[in-house]
Amino acid sequence: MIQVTNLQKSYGGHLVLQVPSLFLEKGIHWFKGANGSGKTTFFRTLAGMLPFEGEIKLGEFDIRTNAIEYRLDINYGEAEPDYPEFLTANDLIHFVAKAKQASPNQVDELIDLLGIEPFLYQPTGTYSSGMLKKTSLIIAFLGRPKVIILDEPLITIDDATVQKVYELVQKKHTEGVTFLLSSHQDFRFEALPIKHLFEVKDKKIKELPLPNGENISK
Amino acid sequence: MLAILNILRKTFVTEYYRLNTGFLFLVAMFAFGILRPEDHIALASYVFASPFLLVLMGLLFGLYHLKTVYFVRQRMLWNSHSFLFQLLLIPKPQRWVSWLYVQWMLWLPVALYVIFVSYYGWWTGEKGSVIATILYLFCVPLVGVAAYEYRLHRPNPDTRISIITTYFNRRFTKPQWFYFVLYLFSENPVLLFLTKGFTCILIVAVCRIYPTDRYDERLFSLAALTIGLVHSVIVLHMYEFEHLQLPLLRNLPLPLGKRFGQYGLFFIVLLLPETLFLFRYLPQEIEWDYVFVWWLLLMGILSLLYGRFLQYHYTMDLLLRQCFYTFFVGFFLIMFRLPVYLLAVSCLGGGVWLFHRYYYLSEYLVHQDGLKSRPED
Repeated sequence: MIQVTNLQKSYGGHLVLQVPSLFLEKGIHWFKGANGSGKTTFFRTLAGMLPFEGEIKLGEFDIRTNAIEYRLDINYGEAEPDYPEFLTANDLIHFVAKAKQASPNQVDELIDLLGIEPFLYQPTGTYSSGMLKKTSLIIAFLGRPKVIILDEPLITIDDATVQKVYELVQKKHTEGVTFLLSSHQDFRFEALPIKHLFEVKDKKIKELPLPNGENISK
Repeated sequence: MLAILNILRKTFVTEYYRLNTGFLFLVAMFAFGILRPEDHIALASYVFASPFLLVLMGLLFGLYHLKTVYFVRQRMLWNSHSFLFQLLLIPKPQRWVSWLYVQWMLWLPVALYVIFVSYYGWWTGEKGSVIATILYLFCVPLVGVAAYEYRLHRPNPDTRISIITTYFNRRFTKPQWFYFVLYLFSENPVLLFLTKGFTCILIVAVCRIYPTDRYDERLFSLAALTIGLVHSVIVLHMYEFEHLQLPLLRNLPLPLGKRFGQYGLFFIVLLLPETLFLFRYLPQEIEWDYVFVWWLLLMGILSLLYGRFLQYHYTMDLLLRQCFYTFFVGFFLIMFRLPVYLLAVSCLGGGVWLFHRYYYLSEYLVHQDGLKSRPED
């Protein structure tokens, strides 16, 4: 599914992440790591939002040479979304939906499911962190991606929404979508069929055994 | 009283000048580096003789005043400055004098310049205009005092959304090229109006000066170069805005051509005031095909600036220095009669190439220097 080769990511000459080789097969993958360990950097790099050294392929599509096809197949939901405060959720969702080739029905369903209709037409500058998070989650599910990356998807949202996110991830997973989820806390994704658990630490990514011992070897 | 003035001076005046050193330096470079003292005097006599230009000059100074007022009012919203609301406890006359002191200290560069040109205006016989200007000079700071008093009595500004905004939000979704236009109007109106005020006045001045002597089209080319470079701060803001507030753009499956088209549309909208002013005041001797090349040069400079930002992460200090050097290189190229269309095509071609090469390689790197406050902040 996703093949990462010789990935090196630096900020201003300072190396923050080094992944010699990593293959992520279909399924739900959980990335753990302390704050500042490099999870978000890794996810943003995979999503095509940051420059890097090395190679990343999603199926047959290379992140550089097939920039459009690659980005059509991979979506990203921010950990702490921060949008221009004069734009409404409606502006952002419709803009991304058009780029990701999402159908109007899908847009309406997601808006309805996560219950953002009451503030859909208000500028995001008036939103709480939970409302911003819901907007970013909708944006992450738009279109027909093969991979959805959700960075800390459960923070700042209420319990009812957490349940809806679980259900949405399960539904998409059964449709063949691969998920990369992150959390710096343990036991947030125990309700999901996690296939692999990774730890981002000391600039490296290493696989860990799943807590219940059901790790599936590559 | 002295203690209060001391606090206000340290809180607002010193901070304002510290943060605006680059901006004031840039203005001083344009005002005194390019124009000679006799040009200022000639310009002053021309402005004092024309009510329209006098009003325009008043508007420009008004924009500067707005910038200072905006700075103080924004600072008053900072939590660290909440102690200033205790000014309500001191008697009104003392408070008003304190605000007047702050505003005059911030108004000082304009006041000194106006007094300088008024002196010459008086001797050229335009006494009515000079008196009106001096009255304006003394009255405008009172608006600042009123604005600070208003904020002092209403510490939490009303942020409710108007019915009209709600209607438009429901009726339309905003196109991507319009995002940064909205950003400028909502987040950086002072930068926008100061830039536009300066560039539009420059166009009027060039159009009016052109027929008075044996100038050629190079005068307009120099104006285009100046206008393009003055926009560098706005383009830098655009680069930062996208990286910091819309990082999701780079995750979208949009072809580079389409992305560049959005910037092109934005640049056309951004240059609309200059384009309209040029159409309105264009001397008859200037041909329309030159006007097109002139406009293309502006588009090229903006594209090139944005391409450079994608290629290299600029800090404000570095940007001001680079603009300064670029101006002199451009100045000599134009004065040595390099065809303007060649300059325009080179800038546009360079901008497109840099965009294509560096769009996905661009990264917003926060160096320690980048965290320093910037002049327009």
